[in-house]
Amino acid sequence: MLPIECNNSQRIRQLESWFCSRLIWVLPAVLLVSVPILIAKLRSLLYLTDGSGVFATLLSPRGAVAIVATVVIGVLTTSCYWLSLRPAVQSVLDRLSTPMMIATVFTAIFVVPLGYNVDRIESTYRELIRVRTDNPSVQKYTLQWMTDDFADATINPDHTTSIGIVGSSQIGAAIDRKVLADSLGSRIQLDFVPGMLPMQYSMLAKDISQHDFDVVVCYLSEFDFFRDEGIPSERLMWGAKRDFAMTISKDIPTEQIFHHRDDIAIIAAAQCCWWWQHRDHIRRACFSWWWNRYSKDQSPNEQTQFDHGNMNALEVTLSDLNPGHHDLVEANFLAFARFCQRLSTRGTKIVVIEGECHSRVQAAFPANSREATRKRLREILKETQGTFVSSQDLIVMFSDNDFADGTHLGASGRQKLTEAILPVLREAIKDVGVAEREPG
Amino acid sequence: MLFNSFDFLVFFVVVFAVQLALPHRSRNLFLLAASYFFYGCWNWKFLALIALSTVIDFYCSKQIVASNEPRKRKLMLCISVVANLGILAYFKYAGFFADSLQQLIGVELSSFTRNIVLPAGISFYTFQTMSYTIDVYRGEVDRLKRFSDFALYVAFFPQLVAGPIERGSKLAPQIEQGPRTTLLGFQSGSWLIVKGLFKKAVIADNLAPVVSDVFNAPDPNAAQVLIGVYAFAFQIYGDFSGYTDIARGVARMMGYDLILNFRLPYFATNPSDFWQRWHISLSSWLRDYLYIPLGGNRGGSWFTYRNLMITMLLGGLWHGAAWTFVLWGAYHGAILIGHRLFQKAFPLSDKWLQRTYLLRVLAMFHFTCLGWLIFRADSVSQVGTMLGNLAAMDFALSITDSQNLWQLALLGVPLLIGQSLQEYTKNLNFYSHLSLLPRTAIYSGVVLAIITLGSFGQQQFIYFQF
Repeated sequence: MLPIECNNSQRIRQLESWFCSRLIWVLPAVLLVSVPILIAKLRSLLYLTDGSGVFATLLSPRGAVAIVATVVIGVLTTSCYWLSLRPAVQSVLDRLSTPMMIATVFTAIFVVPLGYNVDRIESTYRELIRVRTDNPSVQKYTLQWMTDDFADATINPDHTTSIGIVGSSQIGAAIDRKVLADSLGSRIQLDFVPGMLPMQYSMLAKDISQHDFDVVVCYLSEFDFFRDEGIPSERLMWGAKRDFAMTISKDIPTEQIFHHRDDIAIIAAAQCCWWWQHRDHIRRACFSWWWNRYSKDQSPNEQTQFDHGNMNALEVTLSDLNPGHHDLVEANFLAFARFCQRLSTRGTKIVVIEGECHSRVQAAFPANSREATRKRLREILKETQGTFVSSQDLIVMFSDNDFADGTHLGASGRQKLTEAILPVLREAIKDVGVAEREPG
Repeated sequence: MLFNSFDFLVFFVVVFAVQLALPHRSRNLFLLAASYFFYGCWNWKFLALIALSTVIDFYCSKQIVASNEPRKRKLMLCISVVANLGILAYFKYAGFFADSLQQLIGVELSSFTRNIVLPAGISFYTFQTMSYTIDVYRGEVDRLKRFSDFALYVAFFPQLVAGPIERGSKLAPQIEQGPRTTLLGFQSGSWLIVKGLFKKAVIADNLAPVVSDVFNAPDPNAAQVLIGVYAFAFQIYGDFSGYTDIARGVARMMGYDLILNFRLPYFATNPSDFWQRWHISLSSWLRDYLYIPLGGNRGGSWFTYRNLMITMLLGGLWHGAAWTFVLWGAYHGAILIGHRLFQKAFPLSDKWLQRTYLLRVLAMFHFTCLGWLIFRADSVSQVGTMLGNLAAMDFALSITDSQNLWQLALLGVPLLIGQSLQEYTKNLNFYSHLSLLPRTAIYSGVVLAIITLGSFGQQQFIYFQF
């Protein structure tokens, strides 16, 4: 007999009654056995640790309260379920079922996320995702932003200046923070997300400004402004707040908004719905439950061989590039200008170092894009009392051997650039009127 | 415009709202315009092809009804069938035959076929229009009087690109009468859409990378082959039945009832049971317009086997112009024949059929999975490689494989548990008839899973290519 679409619910209700009448007796025993095991193993399950130590639940001590509470909640829920199957109750519930279901779904989507505001829940959530994210990965660094937990190279605890290095993995690989901290006696903090694009600077401007840096160093070139032909919604949704979708829409020429409607909708949905905003992390937590594949740290700086795979992938991506004919270039500049304005109003000096790429990557961009980028960045930084340092100003020549892949500097390149920007930063520190400390 | 995209959401909200306000005739015209717009979003150039197919079949069916001369009626039927099959042969199979001919006798023809682009949904709407004309010829369906109604029957947007292949007897009267949105239809349609989105965006699209990992690997071991094939079984089911659910949900919200296309196919106990549960609109089409006209089971065992094999070979070829699909069709033909032979040799009593139920379901699931391996492979040689590696029995799992296995279990097991309850109660509306508490929990869970785990706008529906 084939299953059919029928409206006869009798058999289903019989099945439910059978299931429920047994569950009500079996459940307490099951919970009494399973909850202590769960408490003992929860730490391993959540954090993928070796499992030593009992997880301290909200209802500890030693989980006794948790066990009793879980059993009571389980029995109460099953009893409600059993009661709801009584014909008298059922007829009432059937009438109310649609509004009650809509209310429950609404609560699940919009009210449950309020629990995220409880510190303990938030930290548990972040930690269980952190251990499941690759290192390095976008998810790992977005978590870092959420927890405000950045790599900090502080040499002298009595430092008077703080310098923020902000940007993508390009700047992460391009500057030796320890050398800078050592030479300038400053606190050097690295705030970066892999693949950080100009629109992300705008999105994260408020967070960065709260660090009260004296100087913020960015590393940007035509590679950042001319590369993407679509709004990077996947990279923006995790941090989109309030009216960010509206802000982006204003930056984009009106006639092009229709073309980018999908991405704007994704960002707008992220502003409204916590689940949607955090979906990248939730997917990670669900699908990478098994094991943390990259438990050992692997920073991009550690590689010694040139990464040809990265280079080839980049060349394929860039081969479709049509830098002169896409509409997001100006939107990118406007987003970066907004970032600069926000920081400069708080008295932060912005220094933009012109980014460098491998010659093969550089060749994918037309020559005028570099000049156009310089022109616009100079204008923006002039308005915000920042400094633009082109590669010509730095008097440093990079060869292809200085690169670890198509876009990231290797050890030799990092050393060259770090030395070259030291005088620029000294000058910037003077400009903001903070006395430079002697190297400790 | 994919069903799981923002564009479709906006499109459907507008279409739904406008069609609510319009009277019957204008509503049909509006739905026709919306359907052409929907199809035009894929490739507006192919609108002419649908229009051509529509004009030919409308004219032929009109002449068939108007004429009393058997010869003329037959001629009109032939024109319709030849035109539809000609369109299909040119756009879908010309490249395949040219390549095969080149390999066979070395004649270079591919330069003529290289630039042919396959129009989306061509196999579906040509079969649909063909069945209509044949039904009119047989006198099984009343001809649609208005051209606009017939054009809507051919191009009705929910089922235009990937079915279900609607029969004239089911959809045409609805279009003529103009059913209306009801609260019940709206509710059940919404649930069908949510269910379809869950199957497509959560199950199918999240398993797609797992499947690609295995089928793109040069030399996967036995464990990887198993993971890949099982994952593909759930992916293709989620993808296609998800599409059908959304299509049926969208139509139902507007008041139209489309044919049921899936009945829990992985709970089939034998090959013929499987084809009564998988892609029902195609399998019933093949039965009614190919298998039965070939003679069906009327001419003795060997004729029946021959007819089964021809039907399944052509059914395989319908899915795509590649030898793997032909092989897949032949494989299904072979297991259908094998099952009949087995039934003859070892007739089981009802008691034993009951006792071996689980075993039969499990065996048929694995027969189906073997078919999916052939279906998904890029070439016949890949089928050989993967079967060889499976036979080598190397079940070593890397950490990536473990992750893939976990993902497969996480997405596949809940689906199977849910469907086993539907199968047990023989009620496909199982969830709608649950009591409030579990129903609410399931609905909330499904909606949250779509929001958090769903993959949107990245993966095309697999059956769009057919």
